[in-house]
Amino acid sequence: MDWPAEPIPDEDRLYYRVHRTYVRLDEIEPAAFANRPKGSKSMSVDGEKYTSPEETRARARKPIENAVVQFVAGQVRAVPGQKVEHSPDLLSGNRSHSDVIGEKTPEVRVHLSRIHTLVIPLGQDIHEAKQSNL
Amino acid sequence: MFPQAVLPSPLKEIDEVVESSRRILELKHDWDGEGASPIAESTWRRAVEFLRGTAYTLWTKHNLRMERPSLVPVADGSIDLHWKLSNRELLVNIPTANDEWASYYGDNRLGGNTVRGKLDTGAPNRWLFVWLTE
Repeated sequence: MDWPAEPIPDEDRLYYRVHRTYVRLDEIEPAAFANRPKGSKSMSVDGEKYTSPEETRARARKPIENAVVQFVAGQVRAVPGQKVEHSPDLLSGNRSHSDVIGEKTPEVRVHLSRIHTLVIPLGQDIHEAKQSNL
Repeated sequence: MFPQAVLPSPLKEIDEVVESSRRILELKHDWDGEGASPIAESTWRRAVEFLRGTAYTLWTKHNLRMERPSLVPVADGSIDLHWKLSNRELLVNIPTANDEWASYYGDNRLGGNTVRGKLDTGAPNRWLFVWLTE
């Protein structure tokens, strides 16, 4: 299997899982947008070329506890200190895996909380999610 | 400080936020399914002492009411205090290391009138919360 890293155009969408802890009355807290695991320099997202929001949610350990939001790559790149790079994950078989690289300061997290769109709300059944995103 | 039974209502509201936030101390390792760290009691205590102390000072010295923040766990074990008002947004992050200053960012929700930097949670920091209520 050979999955070279590819350029991600500015107009491409990126999908990101958000745990229920961060969802307050359908708004996403800036705390959701963090580099993880602890010590990591990037936030994992999935690029639209090789995945869907439903697949992004299905990759969670407990999908039902997660919502999915989307970003536009160029808007993320406009946030201070952030780069977007494709980084396919051979180990987990996730060709869409990409990174938002850069320190997630309070300023960055507030900006990320303003540029996302909720695509799968919390608690939505996976089949409903598929229908509403068709 | 006021005895609990006679707290003025603005301080009572902050006290309610504090009390309901206690549950974040029950989060176990990997609570988000992505490897999140638990919240240490020392980090929580620092966050709530900062919140209570600042609300008390604002009310008793300036007759200003502090709006309710969200108190949200972050995956690295730190805590976010987040105020989202009609014309102001402020995010203060209380780090896990007790000797490290908190970092903050705020603006008028349009990217103007910005404040950013680090603060000593043991200091009054009145100016920042006067800014928040402007």
